Amino acid sequence: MSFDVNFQAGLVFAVIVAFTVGLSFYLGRQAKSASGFFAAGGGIPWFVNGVAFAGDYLSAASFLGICGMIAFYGYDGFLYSIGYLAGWVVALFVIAEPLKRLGRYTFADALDSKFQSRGIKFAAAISTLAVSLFYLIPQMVGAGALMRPLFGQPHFVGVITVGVIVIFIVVTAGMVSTTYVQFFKGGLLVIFSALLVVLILLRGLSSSDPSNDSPLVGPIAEGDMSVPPGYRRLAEDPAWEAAKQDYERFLELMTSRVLTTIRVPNWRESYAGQTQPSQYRLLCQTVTTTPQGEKIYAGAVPPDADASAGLLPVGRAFSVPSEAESAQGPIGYLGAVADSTFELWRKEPLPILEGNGDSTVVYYPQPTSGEQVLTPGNYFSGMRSANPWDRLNFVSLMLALFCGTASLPHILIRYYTVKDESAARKSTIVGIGSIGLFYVLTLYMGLGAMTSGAIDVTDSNMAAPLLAKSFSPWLFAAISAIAFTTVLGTVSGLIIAASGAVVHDLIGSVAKVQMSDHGKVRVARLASVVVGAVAIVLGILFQKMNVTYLVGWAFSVAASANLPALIMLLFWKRTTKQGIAAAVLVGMISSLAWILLAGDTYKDVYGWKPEDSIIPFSQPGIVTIPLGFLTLIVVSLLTPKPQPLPPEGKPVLR
Amino acid sequence: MTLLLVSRIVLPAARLVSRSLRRALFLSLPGILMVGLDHGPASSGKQDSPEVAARNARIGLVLFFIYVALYAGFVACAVAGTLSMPIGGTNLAVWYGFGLIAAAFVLALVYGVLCRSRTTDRTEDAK
Repeated sequence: MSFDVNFQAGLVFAVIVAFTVGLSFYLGRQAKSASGFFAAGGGIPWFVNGVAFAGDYLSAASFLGICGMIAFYGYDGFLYSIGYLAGWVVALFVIAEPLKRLGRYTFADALDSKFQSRGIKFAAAISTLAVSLFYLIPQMVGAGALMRPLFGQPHFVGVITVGVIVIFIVVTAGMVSTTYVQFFKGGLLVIFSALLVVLILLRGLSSSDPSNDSPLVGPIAEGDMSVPPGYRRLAEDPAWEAAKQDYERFLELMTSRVLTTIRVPNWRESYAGQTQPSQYRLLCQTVTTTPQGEKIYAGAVPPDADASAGLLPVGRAFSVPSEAESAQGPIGYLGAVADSTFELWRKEPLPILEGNGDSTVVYYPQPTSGEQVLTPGNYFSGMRSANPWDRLNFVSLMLALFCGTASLPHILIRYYTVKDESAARKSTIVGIGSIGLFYVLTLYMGLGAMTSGAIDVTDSNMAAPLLAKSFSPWLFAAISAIAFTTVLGTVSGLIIAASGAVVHDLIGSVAKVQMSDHGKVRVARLASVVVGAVAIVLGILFQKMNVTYLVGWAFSVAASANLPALIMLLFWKRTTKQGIAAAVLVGMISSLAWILLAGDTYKDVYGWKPEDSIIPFSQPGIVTIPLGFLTLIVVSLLTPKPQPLPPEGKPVLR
Repeated sequence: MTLLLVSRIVLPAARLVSRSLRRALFLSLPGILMVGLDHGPASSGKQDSPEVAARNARIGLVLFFIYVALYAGFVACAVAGTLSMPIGGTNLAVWYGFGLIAAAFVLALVYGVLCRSRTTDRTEDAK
């Protein structure tokens, strides 16, 4: 899709981002000590910390990924909203207060507070690094998705821009500035999302005729698609037949464009009444990649190979009850959605064609009833499968989302930025309120994007900003800027957590390198640059994946590696240091290995057949989280009981 | 003793209060957001007494298991395919989903109300 670059919108975006970064610098001047850099000296007010929780947590995955997934798959994206919020229950009721009593700067500090073990420090630091990096990938991918519609710049420009700004912020600031930036932007994100939902409800639903932007073909005889005037039907190709799809291809004589369509089930029934009898619209869109890497969109070569200029914006309802075409209340809107029919876009990769090495992906609309849109199973299709493994995949994801929040290092570190347990509790309640409100809004934003007529079929992550653009370029600029600063803030928090793991745990505790306070901050900043650079590279590599799906993986790794150790440390006195270290390493390695060998990774990352995967389902949580608990219990029972700490070793709040 | 108390606790606390307020004022462009909120001393020398902490933990676990039951019910309904059941103009999936989000907030508030916060000075504990 091509995007008009709007100068004023770019200016609004630049002003908001500059203000945020300026704020960060102003506040960052106060972070002179290690305590100030990593934990804001324990001096953040609880309300500010609570909203900052929302700022940290409502990352690119929540705003861009969930909205995009709902816009493309309906209710399945909302499952992430439910799971992400449910995880806060674990954080508040089980983890928050005991954790606040245990630690100092990092997750490893908390785990190690009773044992003073280098093994625990090492395992926890490696786990923190792994989870932070996994969580960084979707943030960087989200940044790239924002830059395309706003400035017309390719994906990698957005990723590098975010990477550079964040490294700059973290190197010059620390936890104080990160917290206040998160507070500012977490609040704005919820407010502007609410505004967007109000506009969606006021617009209501409307059905639109696709004839405005799609070529007409037909009349079509039953069982065949005849050649429309101005087109020549292309000869069948064995490679097309190998795809076992009902393809039709036409050459447009005037422009030499090749138009491709797939006849999907329900095609005729769903479109009946939209056009003249036995005439149908050619609604498929194609992206062809030549052996030289050139992209050809819908058969045309755009001037800028990265801008998908030939693709049409999509997203519409085909049939809507007449009463739904006016402003709706929140409940009435969902009722209207249930009674409507929508187009959800699917893609079909084709085998290599024409003998010239080109490969094509065809995007085609699938008419879907509103009832089905509001029921899970469009993305996690295994939920409707008779195969129990497929259903287990969904259960495993929900378990990982539930357990993952309380295991995320950049969320855990925020418990150290308030003064005591009471403040930790209150800030978590404020966080749950803000985050819960936002997640309710995601369902409306996703459904609004689904019918906005502005979606780019190739990138679900852009659905929310493009929805805002369908209302006003100003709103689009503001929303994009907030989302961009969201990415900045989350990435900052993650990089601080990762650099803390390197400096405190790996260098300070494991390698026993003595450093001054000032030296620690300097090394932490160097580590931030390295972690940021790695994140930039990964953000470019994972461009095409939905960001919330990627975050689901990060949750699985975090829950498998960190949660068993945290829970057992807090609630089982027989836990030993060997048990903790083993549980963290086994949970992390097993979940990472599971993800790397899963069918979804085969398909989306390696480009291999998912059926070849040796793993029965893609989400690891249901296996690797219990495995972490089991490892901890077995190893603890096999190792000597922990001795009561001498009085001088009594854990104190440092 | 009084001098020690003033120099170790009161003065640092006053400085932190002042700094917190300045930061909050700078940030709270919509200033109402911050009105009436606790920007109290950011001292890190206090913690809940063990009895209070144990009581809070018990309450937390009870509320946690209530939520686990609700969440597990949702996942079970999804697997069983009953979430598509029409109800209240839309379907069970929408209402149950919203209900889980609302329940998290309501239980969090209940927890906030039921929990006590009686702090003891950790430096006293250490002696």
